[in-house]
Amino acid sequence: MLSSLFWVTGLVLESVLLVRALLGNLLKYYSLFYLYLISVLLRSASLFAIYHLWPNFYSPAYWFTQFLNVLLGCALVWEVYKVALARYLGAARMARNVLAFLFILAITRIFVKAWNSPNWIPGRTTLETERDLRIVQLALLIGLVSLFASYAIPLGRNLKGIIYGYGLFIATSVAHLTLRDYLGDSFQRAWQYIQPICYLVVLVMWCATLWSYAPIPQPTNEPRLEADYESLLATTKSKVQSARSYLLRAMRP
Amino acid sequence: MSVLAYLLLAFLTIVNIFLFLSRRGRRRDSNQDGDGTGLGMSIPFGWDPLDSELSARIFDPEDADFVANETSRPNARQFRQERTVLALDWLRAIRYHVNQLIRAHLRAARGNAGLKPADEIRLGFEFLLFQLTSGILYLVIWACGPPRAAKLVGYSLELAGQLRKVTEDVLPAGRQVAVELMNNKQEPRG
Repeated sequence: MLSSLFWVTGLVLESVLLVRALLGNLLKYYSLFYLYLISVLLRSASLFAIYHLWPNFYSPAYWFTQFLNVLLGCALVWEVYKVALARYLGAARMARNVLAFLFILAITRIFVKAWNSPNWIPGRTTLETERDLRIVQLALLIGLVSLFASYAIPLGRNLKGIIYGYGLFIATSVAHLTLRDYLGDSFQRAWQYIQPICYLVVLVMWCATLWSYAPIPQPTNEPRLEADYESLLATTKSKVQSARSYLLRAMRP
Repeated sequence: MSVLAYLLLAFLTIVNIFLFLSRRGRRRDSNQDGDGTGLGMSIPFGWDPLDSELSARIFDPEDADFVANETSRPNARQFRQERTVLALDWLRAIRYHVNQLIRAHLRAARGNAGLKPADEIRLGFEFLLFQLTSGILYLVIWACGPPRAAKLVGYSLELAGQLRKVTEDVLPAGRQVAVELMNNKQEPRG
């Protein structure tokens, strides 16, 4: 009964989000995010029907559609990168390198694991496969958010909501899939309630931040865009080095 | 029971995430361009010699020795404590300036199409080295007080200088050996 209530509440909130997006013309700005949301809504609605009408088909339908959602989640991370760094070419270049590195690292980990365990692909369990893909997403998202933080990239209310909401969702998914492996059924019983509550929190967060379009704030005074990067780098480097030597020189007896 | 425990754990995790996000948001809001230029060029980075003199004075044992000789032991201890606080403030001020400098650099570089990731990472290592040095100094000053910390730094630098000298003395000999080896290889075998 309670789980059905969570399910229906989720469907209502997802519908509200899509209606607000249509009214506020948000689809134009965050098309991949709304594509993801539409797929989640369709999936939830169809799974709800399957669960009540043909319960035997629920499990295969769940896992098949889940992987489609994971792939669309990757597209969402890509959109965050594209939208947030559209005006910051330097930070975008840095992000491409860092993300490529993280992606290769994460994928290599999966392949090494697959190589060592012949039964791994399509998965000893589908749960493990999904967890690995979620970890890749989480690593990419953490890398991206770290870059945003270090380069002080202004994000705006909409984008912040998407990142924090999706970040929370993936983090809880990874935690769930990992703990499920270790703790077994006793944890799964608790998780039946925890996961929908977490997802509802994410949806509420999205409703609050994506209620209307909020443009990404522009920096009031973009510093030295035309400046030569080499000279900028050389100046900063020499100042950091001189600060370090100053520290030691001042302390020398 | 275990269900309740997991629910509580999940609830606490979510509350923590929200607290972290709200704190971070507030901090970032306060970190907006102070001078409006985004470069923070008001930072005094040409190290003032007077500042150098003053900072050298903080670590000079002369004052501490004088106070120790002329006044009672509690007064001397209080003086040492105040000097430690002063030295730590001085170190914090320098760290703040360098942090501002790096922040200004990142803001200037983020929109620059010529940015080179490898150079940025190298700069990141320089910054990390500075943070490491200042962090160690902070701990040493906090634990030993400024005069002893200065002695320790002097000793460490002297040791580093000696090591460098030894390395320089050894390296040319190493090169010579390598050249000799290469020459031997090129000689025709009789």
